[in-house]
Amino acid sequence: MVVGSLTDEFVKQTAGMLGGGGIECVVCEDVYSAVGVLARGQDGGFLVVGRFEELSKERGRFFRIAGERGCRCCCVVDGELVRWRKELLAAVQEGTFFAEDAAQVQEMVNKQLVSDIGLRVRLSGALGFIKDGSIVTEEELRALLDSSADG
Amino acid sequence: MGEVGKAFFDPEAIVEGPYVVCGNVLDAINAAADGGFAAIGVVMSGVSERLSSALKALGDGTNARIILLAQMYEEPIARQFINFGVNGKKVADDYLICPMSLSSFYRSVMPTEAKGDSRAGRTVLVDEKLEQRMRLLEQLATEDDLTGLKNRRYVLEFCSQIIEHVKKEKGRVTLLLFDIDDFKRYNDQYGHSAGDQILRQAAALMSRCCRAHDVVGRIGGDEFAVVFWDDPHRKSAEGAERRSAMAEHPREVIFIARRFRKEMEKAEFDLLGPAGKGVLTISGGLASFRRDGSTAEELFERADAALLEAKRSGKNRIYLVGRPASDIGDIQE
Repeated sequence: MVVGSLTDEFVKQTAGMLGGGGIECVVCEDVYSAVGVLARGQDGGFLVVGRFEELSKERGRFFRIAGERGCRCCCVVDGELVRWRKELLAAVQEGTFFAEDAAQVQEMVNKQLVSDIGLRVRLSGALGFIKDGSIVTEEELRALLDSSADG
Repeated sequence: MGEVGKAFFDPEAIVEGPYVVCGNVLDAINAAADGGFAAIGVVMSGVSERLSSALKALGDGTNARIILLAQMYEEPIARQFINFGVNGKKVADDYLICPMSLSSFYRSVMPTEAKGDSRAGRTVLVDEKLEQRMRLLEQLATEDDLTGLKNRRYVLEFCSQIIEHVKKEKGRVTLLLFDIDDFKRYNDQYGHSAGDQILRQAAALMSRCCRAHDVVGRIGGDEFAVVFWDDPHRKSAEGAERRSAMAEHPREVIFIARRFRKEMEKAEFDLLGPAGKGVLTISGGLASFRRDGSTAEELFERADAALLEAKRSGKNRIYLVGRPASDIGDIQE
């Protein structure tokens, strides 16, 4: 599932890439319709890709709902994370992957299909320290973001 | 769904009733898809981010009736959702004005002959006549019979509510009080039918001049009130509202008041005969929240004082509180 408007080049590119790779892809224009699709579909089976700004709406609640439905998320981040502390914690605790662009998403998707083990994608800044597959405590996260803001 | 404390006088009664509460709209969409609900109440002011997107997703996943629970200042938005939907798609069935009691809400949304579990509502019988009667009663309680504008009670209540709202959201509220100059003379000379026509036409003119979300009311014989307010979540046509030369009173309000005065001067009142054009003038007072008062009562008092001063100074003018010698017509653009 790719979440976002088709006027967003990233969404178009990602949906095209997944479809071209023979992966069944659903595009939802926003996080609200995404929840509806997840709720009506069978549990599990979705990898949800979208910008962090969109998926973290409504205080990051989407990550927990997706997790409860057996889905994992992959967020593309292109802004300053420091202001999204609570949402970031919700995302990380549900095992969300992070990427910086569509190419990294593709790399992650390809490897994810081969192996169930989460992939740590090479990332810059504070994102590089967020451990894939581990729970990061709120204190650790705060320390990471504070040091990132200072640096 | 939403912040139930904003919608109901007695939110603690929820635990005793057949309700499921979702504080987050995504949880509500998730729960609604599981089905079994007869109705879903959406507390508008408790739903953050994009209400239209949330309602669309909510409606896609359920056959339940969707009822918007609106504060008074949200009524125009609620009506828009009911009448026009989102991208042509219906997203809500009805709206109710809050705050209200939970039992009133339950009576409004549940069928008269619901059987068994009230959540098993896939087939719902709705007493449409009861709804119509309730709407009519609500109308009678809030509207002025002659002009169709809001009545004094509604305007006062709305002004209080919107002031509380903008205190938190950092918006602005401006109150205009005005009346028709020498109205009693026209009534006595031309009869009550002519007087009624003047009032109806003045009401229609002012409503046309105002923005859709402003509240226009008739609060006395020939006395009217307009509550102008800025919704910080709306973008004006200019992107950001520019301030008038007075700084404390919004430029747009002064523009609207000036335009209304000009419209009154151009209007023809048939029942006044050949002399019925260009004769009617108004006098008024403008008071703004925070600058001129911090409650609805204070704004009414200050605006009324400015109105009286306008009358004493020769009529056919609208005074700003704090600048009694200055008609809005004299303010430089």
